Amino acid sequence: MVNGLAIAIQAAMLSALYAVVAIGFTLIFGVGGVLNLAHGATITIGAFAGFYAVSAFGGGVFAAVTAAVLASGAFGAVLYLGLIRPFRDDPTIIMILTLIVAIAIEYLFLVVEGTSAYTVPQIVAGTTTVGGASVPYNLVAIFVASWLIIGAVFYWVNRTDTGRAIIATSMDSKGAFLVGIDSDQINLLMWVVASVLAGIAGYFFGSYLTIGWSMGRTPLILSFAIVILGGLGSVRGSVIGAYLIGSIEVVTTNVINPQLQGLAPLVAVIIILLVRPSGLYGKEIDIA
Amino acid sequence: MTQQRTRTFGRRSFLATGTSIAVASIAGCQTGEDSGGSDGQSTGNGQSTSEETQGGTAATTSSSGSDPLKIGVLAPSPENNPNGRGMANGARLAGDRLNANGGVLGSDVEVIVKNTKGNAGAAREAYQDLTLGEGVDLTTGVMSAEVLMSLMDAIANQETLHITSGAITPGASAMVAEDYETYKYHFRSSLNGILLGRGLEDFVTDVFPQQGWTDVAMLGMDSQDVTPLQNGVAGWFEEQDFNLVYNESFSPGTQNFNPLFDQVEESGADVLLPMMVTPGSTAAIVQWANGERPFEFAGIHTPSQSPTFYEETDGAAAHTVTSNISSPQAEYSQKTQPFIAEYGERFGKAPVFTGFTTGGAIGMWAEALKQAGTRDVEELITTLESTSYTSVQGLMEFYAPDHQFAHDLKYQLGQGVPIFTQWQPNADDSNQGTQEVIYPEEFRTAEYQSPPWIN
Repeated sequence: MVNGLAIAIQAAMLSALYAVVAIGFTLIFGVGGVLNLAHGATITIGAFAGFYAVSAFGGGVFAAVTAAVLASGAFGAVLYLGLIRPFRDDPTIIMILTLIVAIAIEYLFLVVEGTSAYTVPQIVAGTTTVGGASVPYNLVAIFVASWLIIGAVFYWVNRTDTGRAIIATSMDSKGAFLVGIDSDQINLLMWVVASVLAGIAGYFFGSYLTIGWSMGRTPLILSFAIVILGGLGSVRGSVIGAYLIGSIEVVTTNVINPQLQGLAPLVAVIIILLVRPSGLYGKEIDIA
Repeated sequence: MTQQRTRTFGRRSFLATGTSIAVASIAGCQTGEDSGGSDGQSTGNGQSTSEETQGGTAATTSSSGSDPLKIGVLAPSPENNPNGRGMANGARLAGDRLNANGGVLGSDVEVIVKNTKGNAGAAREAYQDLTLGEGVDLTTGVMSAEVLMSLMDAIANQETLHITSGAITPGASAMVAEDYETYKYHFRSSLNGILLGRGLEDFVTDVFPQQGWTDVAMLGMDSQDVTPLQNGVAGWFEEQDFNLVYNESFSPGTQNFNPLFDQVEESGADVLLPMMVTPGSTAAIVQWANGERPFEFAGIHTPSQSPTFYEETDGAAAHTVTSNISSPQAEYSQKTQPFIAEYGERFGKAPVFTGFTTGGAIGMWAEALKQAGTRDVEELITTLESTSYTSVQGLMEFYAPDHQFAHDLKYQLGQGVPIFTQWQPNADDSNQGTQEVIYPEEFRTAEYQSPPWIN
């Protein structure tokens, strides 16, 4: 068994990345009341955009992350304007549409890139030792960047006028409209921001693990788990949920059985749905 | 209040339902995915079976007007799975070479490729199309244990020769040994899992002491292909002078190997002996290299067998060792290098191992046809059982019907497969790597190199 410090480091760093993914997922659900099943596919788009920036154009890490941001943001905008907006009041249709988009994007990458896994440059190369545990600098960089992103989103949602408009829209879109908030613009903004977060997370995942056509599936499932666990519409809940899910995964792998990696978070979701369906910090929002 | 409660419940229920749909759909997508190294992947979208035909019409130098000899290839997603593509292209090249040399028994050879999509249902359908629809004389290919075992009864019923060129499960040869009359139509042109384990044991015995490695960690994918191999090697270690300090299985869907590597590191192992056969296990090598883990990496890692793996991992593959068949450096026989060159010229890439094993299967079958002088399947089986054939993958002979590995390729280290290759950075450009053969001695092209962070 690995020492507790190594487990804690793994859990802390991996969970920060999960939080970035989950925040994007929960923002769309919190504001629009819809499930974006293409969130995982957006992660794949971001990762491959970074990969192409490096492999095809010879760019560095900065260029790769920029490409991930631009590609995923553009995808989010096109997805919202082209498919989501016409059906924004029908969550079931949107769920089906985003599922179809997710499968189509996966298949596109499968056809173009095959089943191979690829790598993208690490943000920072090398490794260090903390308390006897090896910690790649890249993971430290991902951890720091993720927390900067989390902090920025938290500040943006809670301390800016746009953020207040987002909260207002999430509480009551008609009421927000009456006070001059364009909920359509807010929704578009949410889709773009959520997609950018997913795209950046995609590159981070790629630099830590590898990239491949189906790489978005696990983060999508984890997003569900985190949002259910942490509570709806809550950035804070998503972060805490991410840390719980990330910790469950790392501890399960290290302490119980490595073969349970990936299964433990799903079990946690089922338990939460049965025991505390509102999540830990969830605040159900009436969007009627 | 009532309205809000109702709405609240609805939203939560919606999320739960969405979760179920997403998980179910994703689980569905993952059925058969990359299994067993892999028999391709389900596209998860109901993609129809791909079908391509190529062969005899391209080279008709020998045609005597008789019916062509048809070869059916059961390949997992040959458009985008490297192993499936290797099977398809290896068969095409072998077929064209036979035609260019006058065909076999006065007939041209026609190659028909069908997509198994990595699952038993599609594979059975493809097999029926090939045998009942196309009337093939030989089927080959098949990547995973699950698919092969699901086809064994169909192979017996159709009484059509089948030479597996991918799946390593010893279950198939056990069926031949136990009920020869029923299952005698099955042969295998690649080593089975137990024999791959024997190769691994020989490699460990000869190489580990030279390198001073005494403490060994073993990490194997939990699958029908790998688990028997891992258990067998673990049992073997108990009788050796090595310390097996860590032995663990992991789920086929594992992407994050760092927690496992933490455990290996904690165990104090000198070397990790991986048994990893899916494309997803590329992540293991990347995380090992990026984390500069203080143990060597030498065992079975199927993705790193690919000639393009070094480039795909941006050099992370450097200093890893894997049991292998394909290597651009390999020279099993005088046929090997011309085969690699022609394959690369025609398909743009060097062949992966399934290119060798499928090419070898067809070469062996053609040799048996020539020796038997007939297409009669009973006579062909008898001939195959006694034929020695030097193929692109070296000496090929099959175990006798009364052997526990009946009709499987014989393990003959130093005369044929396997070899052990190490990715070594090129001296003039470390962004490029070469797949050097480090074992066995007969085929060696370079000495082992340790990762720089361990020296």
